[in-house]
Amino acid sequence: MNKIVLMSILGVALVGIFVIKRMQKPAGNARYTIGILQTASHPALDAAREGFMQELQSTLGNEVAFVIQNAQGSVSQAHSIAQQFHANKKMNGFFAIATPAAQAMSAVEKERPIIISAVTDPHALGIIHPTTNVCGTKDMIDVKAEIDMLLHLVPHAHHVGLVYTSGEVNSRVLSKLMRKELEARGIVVSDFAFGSEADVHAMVELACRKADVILAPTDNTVASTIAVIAATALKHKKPLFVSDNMLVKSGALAARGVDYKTGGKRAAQIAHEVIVEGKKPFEVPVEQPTCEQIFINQTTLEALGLTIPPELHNQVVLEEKR
Amino acid sequence: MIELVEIAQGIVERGIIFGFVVAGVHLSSRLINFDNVAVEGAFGIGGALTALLISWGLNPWIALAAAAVAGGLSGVVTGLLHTRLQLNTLISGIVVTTGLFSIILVIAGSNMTLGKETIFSSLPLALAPYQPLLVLGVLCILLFSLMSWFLKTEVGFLLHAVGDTPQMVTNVGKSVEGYLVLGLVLSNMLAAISGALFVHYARYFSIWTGVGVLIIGLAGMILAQVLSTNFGIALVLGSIAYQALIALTFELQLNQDWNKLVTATLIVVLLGIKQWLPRK
Repeated sequence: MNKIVLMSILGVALVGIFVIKRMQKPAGNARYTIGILQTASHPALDAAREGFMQELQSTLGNEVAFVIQNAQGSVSQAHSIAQQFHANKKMNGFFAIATPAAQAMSAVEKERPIIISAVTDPHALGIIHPTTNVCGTKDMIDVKAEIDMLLHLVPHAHHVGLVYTSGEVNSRVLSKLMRKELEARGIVVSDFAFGSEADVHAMVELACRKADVILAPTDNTVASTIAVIAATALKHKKPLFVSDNMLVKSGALAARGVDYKTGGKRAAQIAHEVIVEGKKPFEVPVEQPTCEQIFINQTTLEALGLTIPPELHNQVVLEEKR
Repeated sequence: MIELVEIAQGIVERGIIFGFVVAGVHLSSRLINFDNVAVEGAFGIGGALTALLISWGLNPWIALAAAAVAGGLSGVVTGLLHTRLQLNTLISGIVVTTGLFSIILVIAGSNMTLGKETIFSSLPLALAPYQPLLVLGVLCILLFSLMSWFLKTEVGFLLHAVGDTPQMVTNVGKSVEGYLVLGLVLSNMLAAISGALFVHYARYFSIWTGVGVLIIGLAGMILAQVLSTNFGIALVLGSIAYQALIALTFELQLNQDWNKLVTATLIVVLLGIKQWLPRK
């Protein structure tokens, strides 16, 4: 009997906390509230969030408030958050960062606008259709431009090793495109895919022994373990190319890929069009922010004894190793 | 108020879905005394197979059944690794979960969207918002009644005995190993059903869905023990309680870095309360 009484008291207390938190929520005098659902904690995704928030705050100031939640990599938690956002009628729109967040959010919310960023191939996820409530930016890179850069810096490349996570959609999509582009130019390509962070070191060692250039697509595990990958590549004197510009600072040789912060900023401008100006999400196509710059790590460049060819000079941004 | 009802509905829906994992974990660790790490892999394979079969246009209920069978097979493998090759219980589970990762990738890739019908799209449109809740509720009552009945049969009693007094199983001329494998088949089957239901519910499959499922199962089981240590609907209530705790953590809107610690603390508090309760 006691158990039942106690459990009901607990239950009531729990509901009480929910009610109190809900009542408190009117966030100051903000006219717009945006729920941000981030897939995991990771520098690229954090950058997308910061870019998004900065841009909206600069245009809307105090009129916009954010509720930030992070699923910490768990799909079921992403769902849980998406559902709580959906239940919150005060939210005017949602910002979903990376594929799992975008999928969870769009599975639950069918009416209010969802702005996405850092999603590689939203069309393949089936969330973009003629009456969709999803719009935003993707993080697909210009594969041809990236390969051009690789061959400019390492003209003698004849065997490229692709390192990526076997379980990430974005990595699989991109690595296939990269393979196609490289093979079209007569270069041998090998895949070195790892299952989790624990396998990264061994797999990159292997890649460095077999291939003469290492190339990575945008990949969450690569982003988290870039220090290990960069150090291993440098030890073997192999040039390492990445697709996330931020990773060049951490020791990769070069990138001409995605700038997540720019992607987030552009997503914020789209959010402004949809949430403030009242455009329909399906009228705004998903954008691919372009990258005209090449990011090169000077320390790594010198360590490898490479030089920047003159035709690239006006595009190059030099980064120092931190 | 509407908001709260919606949140509560989501909590109950996810609670029921993960309740099957909780039941699987309970079956293995309480009944046959086997710490079954393979539930995580079984959950994944259940989801992956469901996604693949539905994308082929197969009836979603058949897909669910197929997922259960696949989960059962993974239980056979786990059991045989332990009984025949004498692998440690944890190692057998880890090996199966690790191996299944590749099989899942081959079956469904890392991500798959379901455009077609699921088991939650069979009722008339008027009931649409409550479909998952209704279908899950009925399914949960059916399967849990079935399991409860099964555990009261002779085979069920022998399953209990495998964990408590294996000698008794031998005494009545039955094979302990056989019953151990049977227990694991059931445990993994329940986990696979859970994985399949989650895919039906979310309408997409992601290889990362299985991450952390073991924790969900263990936490749900431990919370369920506040109510009852027997197999039964308490397991689902425990699972719902855990989902409520997670939802509450988000609701508090602390700095999100602290979320996991808050969840952990809430579990400790809830279990601490159990200590104050008068013992029977």
